[in-house]
Amino acid sequence: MPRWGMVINLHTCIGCYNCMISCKQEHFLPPGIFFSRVLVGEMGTYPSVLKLVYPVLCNHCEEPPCVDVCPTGATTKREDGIVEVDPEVCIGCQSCLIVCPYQQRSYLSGDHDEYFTGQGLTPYEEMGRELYPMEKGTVVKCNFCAEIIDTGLKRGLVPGVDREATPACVNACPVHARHFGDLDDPESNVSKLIRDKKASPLHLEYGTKPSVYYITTG
Amino acid sequence: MEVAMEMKPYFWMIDYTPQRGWIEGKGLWLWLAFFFSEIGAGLYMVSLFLGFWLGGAIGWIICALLGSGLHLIYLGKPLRAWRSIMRPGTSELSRGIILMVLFLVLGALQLAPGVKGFQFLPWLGDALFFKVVLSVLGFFVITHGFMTLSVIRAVPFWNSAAMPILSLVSGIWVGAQIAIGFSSGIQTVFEGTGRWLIFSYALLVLFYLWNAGHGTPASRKSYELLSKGELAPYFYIGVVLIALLIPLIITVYVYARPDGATMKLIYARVICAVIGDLALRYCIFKAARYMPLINSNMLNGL
Repeated sequence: MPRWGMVINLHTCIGCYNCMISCKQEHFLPPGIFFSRVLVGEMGTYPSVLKLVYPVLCNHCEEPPCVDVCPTGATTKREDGIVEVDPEVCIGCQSCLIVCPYQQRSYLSGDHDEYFTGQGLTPYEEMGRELYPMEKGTVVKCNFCAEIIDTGLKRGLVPGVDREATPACVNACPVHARHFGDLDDPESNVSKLIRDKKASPLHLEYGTKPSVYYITTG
Repeated sequence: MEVAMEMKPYFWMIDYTPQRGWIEGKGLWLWLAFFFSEIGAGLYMVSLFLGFWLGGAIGWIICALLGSGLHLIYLGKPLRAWRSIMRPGTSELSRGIILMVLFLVLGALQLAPGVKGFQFLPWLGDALFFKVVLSVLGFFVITHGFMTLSVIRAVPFWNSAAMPILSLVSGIWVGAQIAIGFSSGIQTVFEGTGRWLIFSYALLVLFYLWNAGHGTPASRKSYELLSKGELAPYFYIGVVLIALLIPLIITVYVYARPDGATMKLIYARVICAVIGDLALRYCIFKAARYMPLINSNMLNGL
């Protein structure tokens, strides 16, 4: 069984927000909710300024604290390492949201559900609600586009290699800064990148063993 | 690259991020739910030991209506609350809710023979079984809130072994004070217990904060927010003055001059204990900070 993971090359990323938008589009996310985000900022003052661009998303940790604290079992980790939330089981206690050291979960309050406030859902939004039934009062997060991976695998495709089996944010990246593949396969593209480029995840000290790695060295 | 340099505009990446889910907006209900569960169970336990059945009944009502009720109001899907008992093996929240349900059910059974119309029940409220089991359950219900916080490694300010002990002492202290408020006739019995509790409570608060001030950078940040940051007014007025100093002064005064102790003074201490404990909990929830998402190790390569 593979363990899916992602490698993001910060030297290649240009901060175009394409991953963020493609994710929002893929999952028909309501206003204010992002599964994938691009954090852009700058440090220092002129003339010594450093601009930082950090694409972030759920780390699909190997030891996910969110799974342990969930009192209902709504948050689960699949055999392939993808951490998911079942909207029909979640009670909205937000324990998972609080314990995530990466703060990559969102609470769907439903207060701002429509893009055109007071005018109801557009046909596009209605279709999204049917395809991805997100329930008000529950916690939502990135699922590594599990539905795309599962459909692709059934068709004999390889996630990370074949576009039709690869997460939307990876496909959308115009500079190939994002790479997706099997972390347990030493010959996969992601394993090679982690090894060769010395990629590292965020906050190793929490012992969560994230599946999203960042290349920071040139 | 120096991380200490000012970062703008997304402080989230390199600065300490506040915990909001459990103290802002709907999260305020959870802050109150934990508080009422704790003081309700504290009042029940103190009353149980002293055979003060009215106090026990009031404690049970506080725990059931305010503690459990506010827990339900806080949830995004309250009708599914029953599902929260499904994961006692790994979830502290799940364990706490199971124990609270047991506490409420057995507490109701213990109190029932004392209620008019239920005297026919074939057991006694002060049976040893009830006393032992409900003491154990009460202990867990009092500590349930802070125990839930203490296992969260992402928030170093909460991730402390002192939390459950502080919670236990504060629960019993505030419970004892409320019992005094309802039992002017037996206040001397509570007074001796209360004397020890207020000193233990003050020492534990100091120990907890000292620990936070010497912990990880994130817990030190939380400590600074309380001691000299934006939360300092809440901390110094709510916790230092109302929760600790005024009750301590009244307790010492009552001990030194028992004849001078008036009920007004005692009631003032009860009010201070309740408001002060609420303020302490608010400060602990509000001061919680996450580590910056991007740390210096990540920046070194860029």
